[in-house]
Amino acid sequence: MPVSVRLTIPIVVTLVGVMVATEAPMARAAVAPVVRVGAAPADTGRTTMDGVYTLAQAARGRDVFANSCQSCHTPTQHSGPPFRNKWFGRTLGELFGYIRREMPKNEPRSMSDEDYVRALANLLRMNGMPAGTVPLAADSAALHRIRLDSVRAVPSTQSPR
Amino acid sequence: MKTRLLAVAVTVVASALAPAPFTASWAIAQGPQPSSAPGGTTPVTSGLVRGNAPGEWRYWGGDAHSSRYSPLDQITAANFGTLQQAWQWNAGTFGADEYYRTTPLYANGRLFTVATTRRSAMAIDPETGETLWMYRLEEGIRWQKAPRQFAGRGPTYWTDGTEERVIIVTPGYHMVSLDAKTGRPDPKFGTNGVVDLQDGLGYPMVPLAVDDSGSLVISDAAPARKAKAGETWDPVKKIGADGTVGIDPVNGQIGASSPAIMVGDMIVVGNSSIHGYYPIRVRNIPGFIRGFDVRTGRQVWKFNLVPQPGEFGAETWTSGSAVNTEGVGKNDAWAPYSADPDLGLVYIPVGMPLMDEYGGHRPGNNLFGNALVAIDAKTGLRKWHYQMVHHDIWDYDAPMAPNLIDITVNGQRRKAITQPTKQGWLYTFDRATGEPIWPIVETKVLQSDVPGERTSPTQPIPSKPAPYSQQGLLATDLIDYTPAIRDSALKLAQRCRMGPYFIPGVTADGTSKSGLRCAWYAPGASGGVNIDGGAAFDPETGMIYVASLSGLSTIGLQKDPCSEFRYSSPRDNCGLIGAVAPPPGYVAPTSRGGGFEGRGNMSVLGGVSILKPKQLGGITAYDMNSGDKKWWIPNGGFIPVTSRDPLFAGVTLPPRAAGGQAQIMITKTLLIYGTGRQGGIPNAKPQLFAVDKATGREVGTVEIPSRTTAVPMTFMHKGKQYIVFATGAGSSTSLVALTLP
Repeated sequence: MPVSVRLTIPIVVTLVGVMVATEAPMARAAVAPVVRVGAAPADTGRTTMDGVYTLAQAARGRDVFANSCQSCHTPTQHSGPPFRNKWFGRTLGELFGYIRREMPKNEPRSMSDEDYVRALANLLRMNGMPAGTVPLAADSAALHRIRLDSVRAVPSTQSPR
Repeated sequence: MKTRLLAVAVTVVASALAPAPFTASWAIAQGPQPSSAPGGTTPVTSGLVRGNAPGEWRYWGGDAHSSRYSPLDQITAANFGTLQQAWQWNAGTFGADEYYRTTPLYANGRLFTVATTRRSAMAIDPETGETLWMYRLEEGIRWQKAPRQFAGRGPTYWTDGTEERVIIVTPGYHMVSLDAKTGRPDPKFGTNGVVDLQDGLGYPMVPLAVDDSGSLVISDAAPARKAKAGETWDPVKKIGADGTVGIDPVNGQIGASSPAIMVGDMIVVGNSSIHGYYPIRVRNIPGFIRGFDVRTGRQVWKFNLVPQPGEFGAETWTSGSAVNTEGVGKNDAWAPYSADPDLGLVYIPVGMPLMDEYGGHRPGNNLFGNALVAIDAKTGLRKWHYQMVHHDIWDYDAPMAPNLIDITVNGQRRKAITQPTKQGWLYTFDRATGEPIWPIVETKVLQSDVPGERTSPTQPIPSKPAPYSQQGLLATDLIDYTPAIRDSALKLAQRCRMGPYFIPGVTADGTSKSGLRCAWYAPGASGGVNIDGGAAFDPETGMIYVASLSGLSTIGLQKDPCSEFRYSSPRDNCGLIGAVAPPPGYVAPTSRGGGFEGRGNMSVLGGVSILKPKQLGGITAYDMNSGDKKWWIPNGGFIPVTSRDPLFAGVTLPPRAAGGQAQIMITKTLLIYGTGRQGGIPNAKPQLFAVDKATGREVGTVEIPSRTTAVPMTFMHKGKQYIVFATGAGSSTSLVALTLP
């Protein structure tokens, strides 16, 4: 994936820049307890560190990002501390529901569910979550059982090692 | 004969510092031009209609009038469904892009386009889709920190009957004049074919450096800076000074996204500024329109879109309009332009001043923000102007090339012009004098109660034609299928400030006088008409077809502690390079939406919009002889609406119109449109639609690889009519050509 490599480099460096430039208050915010609004319980223990999407899906998701997100959002806003603060501890179902309900802001609900899931996979890739072998499904109930986190759940036979 | 492609790299501006910025490379066909090669004949210069040779597409909007009309008639309602793909030209192989928003040009047997975030110029064989030549300018830091880093709307074509030129304006704000036959820069133009557009604006040029390897973060975070003495390039970290020069970024940013327009031998070019959503700095570079001689690249005139002290309109900036004054910036005319070659006038739709939603730092009407300005293309002198929004706080940039329309009003033939806008109205004028064709009435509007904001007491409201998008939100706009539904909708609506139009934003923390935390926002920042949509005009009938959104969103303002503005959209810039340091103890809000929840889709009750379905958005047809609305269709169809909410039990809900901005062109026989990148029915197969111009009835469809991302164009090549449109985003951008079997 030469394209992936080329695009990943600036994102990573930008992230470093953000973290270097981040003031102490941001760091405090990063460990502040996450307020859950209407959160569905994340009950089954799978997290986004368990390889819940495929690279192919994320690659398509990068095109979705370019098509429908990039004119308002830059990768910096959606990776690293800003993303962590807002979403860690919540479920992919919440994030999926939010994006599908509200985005793109000028035409909410205008994309196919498949494209919303691809955008979601790309967000996970941008945030360093590992890819797996099974694509993320556009299934709200299933997505509600996956928690956004930087640690793996208890390893199970289903999750790739 | 086979053509051999050879890449040639040429240093355009020599620099002592690595890594050789400002280099151009192009690939050219070597050897003698085979007789079968496209082009090569004498370009047509007589019998031009609105600046265009019949059957060609020499301007972004089809002709100088931006009619988006072609007299071709080979493709009809009867055969539209049999259209086949002639070729698909893969732009993604040349590099990534945002969404591919280019409409190519066709002139004298060749197709010309731009592609990728580098805005490389390309010539394509219209019959086969083969690349004939390509040109790419390496702009170093100027590209890396460009405010509009994507392919843009397209190139510009010029010919005098002998010479032919393709002119591009790059993301880093250089203008390049290329030989249309070979792609070679014109050595007589500027410096080896390149004019540095950052030069000549009154700012000194300084060496540039960067502290990170990323792009500009929306709006103006992580900018470039002036290089320190002796600073060099670190090729590993990709930071430092790379030898590029430009305007000191302490003044702000400037670039472009739309093509220049030709008026005779004058290239008229403007600029695009930063996005206005979340700026950090309360001053930025204002907008300019300039004229350049096409043969030499010499700057002939400059028109200030923020009038400088002593100039006409400067008094509309009551705290001062001089560059680098607090509150001064933008007023950038980022859309494509139109021209009347006979009158010698160029028509400039101007964007808004700095900061989309708060104008407290720039009291006054802020000319020429949100104005349509007619400029004499030879002298650069203003002929007339009309400001369509005073002191904008709604992001109502004039977003699209105006349409020049010849119409018969009350029995009198009029040379008119109409400007499609984000705010949902067409503003129509005599294009020689600027006199409104139908009265435009200064009407009292709601006033802002946000601290420091002084909104205009009135806004100009056209008496005709009727608007094509939802205007504000009133109780009468709400669904009322049952009394309970009506009450629930009203209760939801009353959570935000309501009004007939131009509703000012409120503070999201509820400290505005009303105590409300949001205001209804319709049309929203995306229109109405915006970048992707706009209008096509039929010069034979006087009908205009407007593609627009019609949505309903909300707006709330907050104080970004890390920007210089007193208020802004709800998001903070804290931690980004170039941001103001946050106050001690500041904790970033953990809201979910990256800031956009303040503009979010709060208008839904049990999955149903509280807005009554109306014939707005989609495609609206008006007879411009009378100013009357003739028909309306949705963009790609209707979507069924159901709700499991008991509130709607027993109620049969009408379907909603598919959204997005349709992308329209018209021919002698048809209105042809794609749904746009976010339009149509969400899970439907992407299609191109053919519509009867008189009635709006769909008369044909053809399946296409993916949704259109720009306005299509058409031309006649070797006796065949083609339709070409851009599609895709990221790594999968392409041009698709359709023709009859």
